[in-house]
Amino acid sequence: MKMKRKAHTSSGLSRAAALWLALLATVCCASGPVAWPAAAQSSEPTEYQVKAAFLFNFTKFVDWPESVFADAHAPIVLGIVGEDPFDGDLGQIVAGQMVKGRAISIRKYRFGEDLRHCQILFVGSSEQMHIPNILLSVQGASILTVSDVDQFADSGGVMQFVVEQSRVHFIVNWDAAMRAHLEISAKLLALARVINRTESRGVN
Amino acid sequence: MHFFHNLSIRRKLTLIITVITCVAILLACAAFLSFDVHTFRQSKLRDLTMLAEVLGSNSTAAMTFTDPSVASEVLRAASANEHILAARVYRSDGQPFATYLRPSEAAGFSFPGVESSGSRFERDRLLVFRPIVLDGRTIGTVFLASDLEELSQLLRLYLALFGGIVATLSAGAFFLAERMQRTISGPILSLARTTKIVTTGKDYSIRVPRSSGDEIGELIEGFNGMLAEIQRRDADLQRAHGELELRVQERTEELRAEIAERKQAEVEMKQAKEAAEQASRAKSEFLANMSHEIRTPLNGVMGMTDLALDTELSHEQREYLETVKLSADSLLIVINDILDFSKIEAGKVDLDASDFDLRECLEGILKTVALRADEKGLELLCEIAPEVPDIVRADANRLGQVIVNLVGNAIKFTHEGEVALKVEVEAEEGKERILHFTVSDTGIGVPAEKLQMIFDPFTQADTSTTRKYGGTGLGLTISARLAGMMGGRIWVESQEGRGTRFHFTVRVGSSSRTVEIGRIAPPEILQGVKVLVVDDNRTNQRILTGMLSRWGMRSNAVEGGEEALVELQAAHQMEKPYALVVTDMHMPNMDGFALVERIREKPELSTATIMMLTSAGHRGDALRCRELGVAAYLLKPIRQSELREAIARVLGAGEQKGAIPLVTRFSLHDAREPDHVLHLLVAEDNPVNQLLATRLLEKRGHRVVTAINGREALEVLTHRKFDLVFMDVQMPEMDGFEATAAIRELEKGTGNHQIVIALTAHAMKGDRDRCLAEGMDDYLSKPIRPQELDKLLEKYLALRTKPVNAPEVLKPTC
Repeated sequence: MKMKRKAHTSSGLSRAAALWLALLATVCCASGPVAWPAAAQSSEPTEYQVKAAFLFNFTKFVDWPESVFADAHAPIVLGIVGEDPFDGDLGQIVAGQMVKGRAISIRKYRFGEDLRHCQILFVGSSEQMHIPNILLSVQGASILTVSDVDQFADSGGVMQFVVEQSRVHFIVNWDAAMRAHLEISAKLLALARVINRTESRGVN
Repeated sequence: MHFFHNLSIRRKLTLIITVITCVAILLACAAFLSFDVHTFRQSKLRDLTMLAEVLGSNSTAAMTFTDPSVASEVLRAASANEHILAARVYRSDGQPFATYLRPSEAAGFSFPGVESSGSRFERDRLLVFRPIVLDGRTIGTVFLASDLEELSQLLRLYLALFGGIVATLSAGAFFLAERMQRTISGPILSLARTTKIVTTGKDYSIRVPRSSGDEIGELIEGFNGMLAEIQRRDADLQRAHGELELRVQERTEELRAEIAERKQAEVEMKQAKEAAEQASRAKSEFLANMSHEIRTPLNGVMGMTDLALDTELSHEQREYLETVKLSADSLLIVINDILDFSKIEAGKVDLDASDFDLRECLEGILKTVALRADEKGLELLCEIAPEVPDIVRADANRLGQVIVNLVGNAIKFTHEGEVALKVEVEAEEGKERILHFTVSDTGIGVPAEKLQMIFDPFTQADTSTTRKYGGTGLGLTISARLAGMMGGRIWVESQEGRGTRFHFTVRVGSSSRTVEIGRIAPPEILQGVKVLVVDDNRTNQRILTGMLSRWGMRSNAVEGGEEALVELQAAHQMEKPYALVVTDMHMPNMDGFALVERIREKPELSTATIMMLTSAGHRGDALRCRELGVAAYLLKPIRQSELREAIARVLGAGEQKGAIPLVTRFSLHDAREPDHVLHLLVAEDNPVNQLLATRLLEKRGHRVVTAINGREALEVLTHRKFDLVFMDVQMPEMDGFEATAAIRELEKGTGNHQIVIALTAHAMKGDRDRCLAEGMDDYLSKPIRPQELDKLLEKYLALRTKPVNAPEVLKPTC
């Protein structure tokens, strides 16, 4: 169905189509490793489209303590603080999706607001300066903090996107995840670069 | 299977046990093997499926985040299992995502098409597909291929193991079977050996030792029991045999004694029988002698009386002589009756059955009595039913005797009216027929109270009858006995004063022969021919017209020449002229020749063929007949066959328009004009009888030479040849038999045959046979009766020109 829609949407919907492709590439494992050139054509997924898909997929490999949800049907809240780099792509990806029986809702924050009511918190690059404060404000809460700001993981963030050879990779701060009581699947860890691992486990 | 049947029991048992054991072991091994293989496959499949699950699960993140290297890393973990040939992860769109190949398979492994889920065993590998599920969603498929090297190894191991087990156990089974079957086959073999010894050696005292309590033991016991029984019976048999021999010996002794006794009795019986036969012979001899002694003088009396009657006599003398003749005739009849009766009573009459023409025979018989009937003015009728066969087989003489008796009787007791003989077929039984003869008259009849005893000997209706009609009264008795002998019976019905009806039946055989009369012309030639019979004698008229109608001819009879001429003229005018005229010669007013002359005067009447019948032939008659153009000239009494043959001949000749030679009775028998004269030799010692015979023969125109005994006859015969020799049987010096024997002795090798006719007063049974046995050709009993003599002469006259070899050809006819 989705492929059909793509077929019907032409240049007017080029962005949506590219976003779908990114999602398909990750979720549905489209052809080959997802890569995109800097001057991507409209049909190739952009870097942030890939990152949006990653964010969504993290929900599948991360388990939160039950207590963070109000009830069994409470959605997984994906918060974005600072400037939203996804340009609505994220909203399109999660729309209508259910993970582990929960819907996913997107919530946007401004710095200074209470950030504790989300399960994933993406910190936009606009908030580079406030990162320590933000991390501090969510300390003790079970929140998967993600950012593509350099040194975010080293600074105490749980996950950090890095782009190497045009591919999106991510770094997991094991210690931070443990402190946030997040259970990150070993399978996800197998894909990530893990730092601050206190247990005697080989990195990567 | 044939091979197996011929094996010894020992081999069979061993083979059976071994084969069964091997089969059991093989089945057990096969079951074990198949179970193990199944289990192995199950566990293999389970292991592989589990591994696939693990790999799939471990690949989820790599797939989600599109990291094939990580997936390959995950798959490489499969190399821990050395049997994994290949592993691969497919994306949900079926494209391979990551692959692992066992180094050894790097080149040649071919991946099958992707399947969502499932497993299958291929020839030497196991393939498993499992879906990769993440959060309830299928994101791809993991594929695993494993070799089955373990299974092959397992199979190889098992085969080696089972081979060893089967070989070992079979050998063990064979060895055990070989040992254990002895308990079964041992006794059987021993039994068989003993049986053979008993069979060949016939020694029933041998016993087979019993070794076990099973069925074979019972069998041996039974066999021993049978042997004992046989031994016992053998002994019994021997004993019985001995006893039997003893008894046979005893019995033989007894039989010997018995036979001796019987022989003794037989000898005595034979003696008694001989004595009885001697007595019987003496009685017969006496009877024969008596008959001879009576007949010889009677012959003289009768013959001389006949001769004397032919001479010129005064009326008184003639009357006396005629009385003498009548008395002599009566005496002869009485003697013959008594003789016949005594022979029948003594059971000495044998029937001599032969084929003969019944109609001709009956005509001959009636002809002998016709004269007497005619003299008394009686009508003598004869009616033979058409179904009565022509030729029958019976004793013609005895049948004739009965008929003559009954008809003679009827004539005797009838004063006016008629005597009729009727013959019918009463019944047919296969080839035999029962003929029913009826002789009816219009005579005095028999009183009812006498009817029962009429067939008893020496009875007549009453003594007064005897006085009035004469006779011994034996005729009916003899007839009754003869009828009984011929398979029939006799009975009578009568009304006093109205007539009598005698019935008798006779059983006759049918003959394959057909009637011989009419051979010359087919019957058609006679059919419908118009005949005029001219005869003043009513009986003759009736006889002739009867015969002619029987052959299908249309006949009319007139009493004299005048009436004949009128009838011929009338027929001519009606244009239905007669084709044949049969006329008598001796008739009052106009005799036969005169009639013929009158017919010749009228050419229109001369178209008819004329036949002349005469009762006494005169010299010159034949010549006159020829002159008058008479076609046939025949002597009465004429036989049916002769008449028919003559008519057929003259009519046949007329049709051929050839020259018609005169037909006479002789030309019927041979074509040549015969010479009437026979040269005869009469050997007779009694001068009266010699004279009588000579006169009788000379009167018939024959030349006679006499001899007084056999010796003289032989002497005469050496000088000249005779047509016939009449030989008296009883003669002094050399009797008839001796003389005949001498004649036959002389004839030996010459091919000649002198006809010898016996003259004998022995009217006893067996005389005729004896005469024929002694080499004589025929037989004439004394007193000589002119009729019999005529018959005989006629016979030999007819056959004179033909060589006569076999006497039976000349059997006298009735």
